[in-house]
Amino acid sequence: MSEPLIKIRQVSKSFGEFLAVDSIDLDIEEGAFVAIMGPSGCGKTTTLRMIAGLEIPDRGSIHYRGSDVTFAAPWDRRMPLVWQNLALFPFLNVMENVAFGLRMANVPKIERRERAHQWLDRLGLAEFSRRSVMDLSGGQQQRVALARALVTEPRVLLLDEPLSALDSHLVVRMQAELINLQRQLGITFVYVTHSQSEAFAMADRVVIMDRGRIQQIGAPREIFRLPTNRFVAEFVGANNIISGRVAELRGERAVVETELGMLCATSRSPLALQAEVDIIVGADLIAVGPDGVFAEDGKQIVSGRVVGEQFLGSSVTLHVDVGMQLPMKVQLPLHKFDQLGVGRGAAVSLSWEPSAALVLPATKQ
Amino acid sequence: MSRPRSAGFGFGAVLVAIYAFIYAPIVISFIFSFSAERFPTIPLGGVSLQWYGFVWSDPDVHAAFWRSVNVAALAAPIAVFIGFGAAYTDYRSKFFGKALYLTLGLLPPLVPVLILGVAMLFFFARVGLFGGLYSIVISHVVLCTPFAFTVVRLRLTQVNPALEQAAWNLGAGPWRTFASVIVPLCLPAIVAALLVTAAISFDEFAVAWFVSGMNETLPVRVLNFVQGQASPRINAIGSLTFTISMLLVMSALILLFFRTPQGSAPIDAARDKP
Repeated sequence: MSEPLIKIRQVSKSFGEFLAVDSIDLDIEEGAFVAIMGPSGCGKTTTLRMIAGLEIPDRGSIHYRGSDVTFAAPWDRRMPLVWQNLALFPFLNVMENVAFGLRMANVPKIERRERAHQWLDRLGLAEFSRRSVMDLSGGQQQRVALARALVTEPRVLLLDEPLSALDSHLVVRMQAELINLQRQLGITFVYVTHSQSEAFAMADRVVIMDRGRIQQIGAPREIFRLPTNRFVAEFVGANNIISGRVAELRGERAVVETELGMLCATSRSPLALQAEVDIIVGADLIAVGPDGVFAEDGKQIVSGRVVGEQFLGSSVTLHVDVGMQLPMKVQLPLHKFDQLGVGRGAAVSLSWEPSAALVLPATKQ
Repeated sequence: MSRPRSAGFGFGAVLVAIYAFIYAPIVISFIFSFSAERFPTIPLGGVSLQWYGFVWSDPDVHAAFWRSVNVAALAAPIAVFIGFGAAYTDYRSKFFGKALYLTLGLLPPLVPVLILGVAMLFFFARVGLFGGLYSIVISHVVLCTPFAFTVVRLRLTQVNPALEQAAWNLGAGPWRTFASVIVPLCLPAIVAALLVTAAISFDEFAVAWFVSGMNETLPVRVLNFVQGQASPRINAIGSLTFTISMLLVMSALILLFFRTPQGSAPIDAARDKP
């Protein structure tokens, strides 16, 4: 087992009274595309800035390629960062911006022009090399920022919400370009974002943070299907959460007493009888039919009334009042929705496989 | 937006009156500097450049003019250097007593010049610098530094703090960052500060009068003219001084406000050494 490229151990950082990062452990493997995701104020940017050396941890250590860089100066780290606001140098033209890192590394002038040009070419900016960076469009500036960071051939690239300032049609294109770039270069990307779609679309490892702590680390699929706590289940979007108490245990299966009655669910960790639990059911794993359908063998069934629908394009999210505080969310493909023909106010029954329902120990909110 | 028109009118009239009050004497002295007559008359008795001729051929004026230029040329860069340092310290660091530091930095122009002049006079006499050109330079540095400080500080407040960190992140140490990011970002403000402080120094009369001794600067020379006799030469020399100061100040204003703050200048090449 090789040493991870970046190894973070028990790192904490506070700003005054505010604990931004709370004793986190994180390994980033060489060549990985890691996304750190969480709501604003969760500590994701602070973590990135500590990796870059722009903040010094209060406690803990950061190792890069086996050596301790916890207190190393940012200019000694060779871990370029693509900034949220890009931070291009307004007094330099495109070419000079890209060559800045090489100039600081005392690369001879001819070589640095050549290397900067290669990157400008690669990112389709060759014709703008003499322009002022202020005259470029948002997408072009984004590319200049990328070229400026990559021209020094780093082993790791740090990205702090780099696409948040772009128009949405550009975001998707830049995402594809970033994925390609990362595959071609084979270097490590550490990508901070608050956007689930961005993290899931690009990263092969996602780190979910909240209130300074890491909530879960895993592949996008794993985070999506198997959240390990209620925060992750809520944060990654379309999950239904039903609170209850364990009534019966049969191996991996737990029968849980909820306000919707006894529900069967699958547990991935040992539970105690009478323990407070949350059942998580993905909105896309719920089948919807006209009311009065009998449950098939083993299936959970709940009846309710449609109170709203949300058109998402190729899919539709139905909001179904089943007598809980929040309506349940059911996501179904548009063509299924059209076949079904259930409008607002329609009585429906919802059903799901017990294996689709995940039971987690309840966390204190 | 729905202000009655008359209010706007009244406001405009007051503004015009104020500006007229300020600028009329200058304009009049400008006009009479071209008069052919010994005494000001209306209408103008004739147009001539004779008073400029007198001024031009007066060796005392010559000497005073070049002395003023020398003082300004020395005082402005020193004041801007110190002012820039002070502004950057303010921008970069937080420390105990910063408010006091800022107050001290901005204080000199608030001290009545008379008091400043007398204090400088005593001080220079005590340390044996009285009457030298350097005594004027030093006092002008004291007077001009707060202006340089203010101008550079204004620019620094507009600087995106991420730019400095971006330079660190790309491998530039603190000094390299200072030279290749902070200074270029502040260059328009630095030039503007040079112009403003040069104008202040070139114009400054009171303190120079106290500490200059026999080395009178141009404004001191003008006062000595007035004390002797009401010669129309004063109009000529006054117009010249005013024009020079106004040119300096207006160039500074153009640099500071009419140039886009994010504008790019090809200054990289000049400093570019492998």
